Amino acid sequence: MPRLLSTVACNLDPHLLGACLPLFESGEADAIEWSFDALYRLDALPDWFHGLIDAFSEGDRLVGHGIFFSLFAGKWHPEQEAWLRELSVICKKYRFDHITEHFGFMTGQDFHHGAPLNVPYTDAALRIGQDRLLRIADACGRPVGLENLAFSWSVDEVRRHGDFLDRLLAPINGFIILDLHNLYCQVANFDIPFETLAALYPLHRVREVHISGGSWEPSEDRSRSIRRDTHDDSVPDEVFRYLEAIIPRCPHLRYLVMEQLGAGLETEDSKTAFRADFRRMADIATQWNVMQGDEILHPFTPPFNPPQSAPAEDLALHQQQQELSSILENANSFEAASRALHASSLAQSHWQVERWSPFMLETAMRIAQKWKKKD
Amino acid sequence: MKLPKILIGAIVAGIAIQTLPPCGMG
Repeated sequence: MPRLLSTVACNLDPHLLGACLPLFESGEADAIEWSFDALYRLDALPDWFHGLIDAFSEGDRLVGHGIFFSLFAGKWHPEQEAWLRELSVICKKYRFDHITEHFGFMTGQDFHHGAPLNVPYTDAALRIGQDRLLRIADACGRPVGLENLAFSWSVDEVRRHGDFLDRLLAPINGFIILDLHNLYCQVANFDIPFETLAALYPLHRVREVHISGGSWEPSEDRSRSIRRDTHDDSVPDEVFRYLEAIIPRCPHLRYLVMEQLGAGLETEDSKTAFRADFRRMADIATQWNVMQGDEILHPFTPPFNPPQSAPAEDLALHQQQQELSSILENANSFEAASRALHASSLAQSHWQVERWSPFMLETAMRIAQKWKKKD
Repeated sequence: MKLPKILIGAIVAGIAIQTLPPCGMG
């Protein structure tokens, strides 16, 4: 098993960088994960930030984490073409150990806005996802991975997510980022034990684990709380327990990544708590590293397989995604969204809207409206 | 990984200038 690297998710955010600075000074941060597409233009980054990225790149301790590619968008967008070009440029400038993206499609009508939501696990969706992953692998020339999604419409989807990820990643020999706080959300929101959920994932594909915090939000009728992956608070104890339980079961795990948004790191107390969480994670990694060697094994190199045809599309899926996004972004109540969904082309389809959890539809509305582009 | 002091200094200065007056479920 490789030596575990304690990593911070890092962006051009003064609060986040302020929290990380003592970890950089002491050398406690083994690696950084950079959301390279949060900015379209490299020249919008200051020189000192390039210096930071460069240092970890030269040390072979840099991984890239994309946000905005919209892997399952049913229609191929010019913005996706541009995203791949940018990725290719950035991978020539810096040496990433691997590149990752998120599962799902983005709700926004505008490519650079919105939030990722789940798609039906159909052959059509699988074909589109595999096509897009092939293009990412071709553009970056590095191993490619996907993160498990926190959001699910139904308990059935939660149970099938790991298997679908496995089939999706197989053609590019891809890997999984197992986000343990995303699993924590699903444990809470769907009443499934962590052990049951973990057993449903192809853990031999896990090369990276994320830990983070989040928040509880009351449902509209106040009957329960929904756990959301808002990355704005410290890491729950339970997530650390998940981490200790999962490490021995992931033979190719390399990166443990601590995530938090700068918006949750504005006070000195929150920065101190962030570093305490990082050190708790690093202690777990150190205990494991003492017992293990450092087998630098990289079993996720993608096969050389440049795309030979035009990007796969499914215009019916695209139409349904547009309809769903519009309903979620514009409905002024849960009842209105529910009525619109049952009158839409998603009704009686692979989307199985009839089986969606009402709490998750409510949550999807909140997420979509939160991230909707402001005019 | 320990960063060179000169880079740490540049980051500190950069943060000071910067602060001049969505994986789903987020």
